[in-house]
Amino acid sequence: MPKSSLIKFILVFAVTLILQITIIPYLQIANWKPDLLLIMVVIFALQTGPSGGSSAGFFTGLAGDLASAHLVGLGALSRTVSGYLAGALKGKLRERSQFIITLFLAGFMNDFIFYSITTLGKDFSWKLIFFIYIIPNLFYTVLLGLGIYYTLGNWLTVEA
Amino acid sequence: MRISPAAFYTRKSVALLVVYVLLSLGAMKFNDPFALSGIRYALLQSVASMAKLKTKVLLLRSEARRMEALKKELFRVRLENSRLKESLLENIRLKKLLKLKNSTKYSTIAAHVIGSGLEMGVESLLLDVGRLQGVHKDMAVLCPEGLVGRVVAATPRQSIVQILLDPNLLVSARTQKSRETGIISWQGNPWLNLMYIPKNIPVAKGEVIVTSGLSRIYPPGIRIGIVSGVKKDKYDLFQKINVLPVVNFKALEEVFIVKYETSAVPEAANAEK
Repeated sequence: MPKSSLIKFILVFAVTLILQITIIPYLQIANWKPDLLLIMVVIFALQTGPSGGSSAGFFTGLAGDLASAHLVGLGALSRTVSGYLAGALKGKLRERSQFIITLFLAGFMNDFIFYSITTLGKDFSWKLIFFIYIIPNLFYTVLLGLGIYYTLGNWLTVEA
Repeated sequence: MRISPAAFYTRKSVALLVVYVLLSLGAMKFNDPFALSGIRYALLQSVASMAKLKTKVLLLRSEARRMEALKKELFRVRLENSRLKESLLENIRLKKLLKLKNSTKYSTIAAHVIGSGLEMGVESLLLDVGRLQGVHKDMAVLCPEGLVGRVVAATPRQSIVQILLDPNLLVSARTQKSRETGIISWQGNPWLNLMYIPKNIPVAKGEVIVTSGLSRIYPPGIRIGIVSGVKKDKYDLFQKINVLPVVNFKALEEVFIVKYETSAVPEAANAEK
């Protein structure tokens, strides 16, 4: 990957992280808030493959952990795996639906790992986690993701 | 044996995945590693700068509207002020009569909320005060309505708060009428759960739940929520008590960090974490 693309994406991830912390909370409806950082990781992973996806997932997840109250490393782990999954799906799906399906699967994987660990040993109902938190939130993230992908998609490309 | 470029690429990406997973698990094991404190500081500084910029823009836009509203408010406050002066004098007289002392047991630090964590709902808040202002880990965070949570990390100028809507936060609490002690936790519902209250203790809907004071972190008597439902199962030792939090966590803008010191039972403080 050329240096200019790498620097561009590092800046994009930094700005996205700050927006996720300061602006995205204003878009929260009930318990749902879109995951802008995951959208960017998926866009990056679909162009660079599993190595790029897991690297982007790890570093953005770790940075996110440092600005949250949960266990440091938890977000890094869940985003590393979801970034890897997104990268592994590169070129495996039809181009038209690739982004939506990948974002949905990566988001599901991210939330599944995060909630599995954070609720470990606690009296949490998985039905509640899936239907009240994960699934509606994924739809919200996919909706915002589509908007970003079709407006900024051309600019957010990694040069060959 | 020669490895094809595709297989090498796959092996490399799997190896990278394993390294990142191990690093994440390592970070979890040594939670809040000192080596990352510099990155945390830089990150929170950027967030604080962004929050300041956002506040400035919002301020400019609302300035004109505020001026009009303030003029009307000033008139109303002047009238109210004269009435309050009378009340103050009356209060002083009554205090002398009752020999009451103005006894605040703890000092507070005011803070603005500048962002929230990356969790799905709102499970952590970022504040614009840090160690330089006297904020340290394990200080209680309150708002006028009641308990918000506790500080889990502090950089020189910012801090991170774990709020009651975090499954990993447990708070020792008490029913206001029966004075029975239990543990407040969140289990993903729109309400909190008060656990370990025996079935023979009467708890009614509408009863206020407060902090117990059996803690080094939270001062006693701080409102947590109001009982919204009580369920007694035949085979359970304890009641299932639902508590609606008094704080609207999504609308928090200003909070107070409390420096509270007590010689409370250490076991209770440890149990809360």
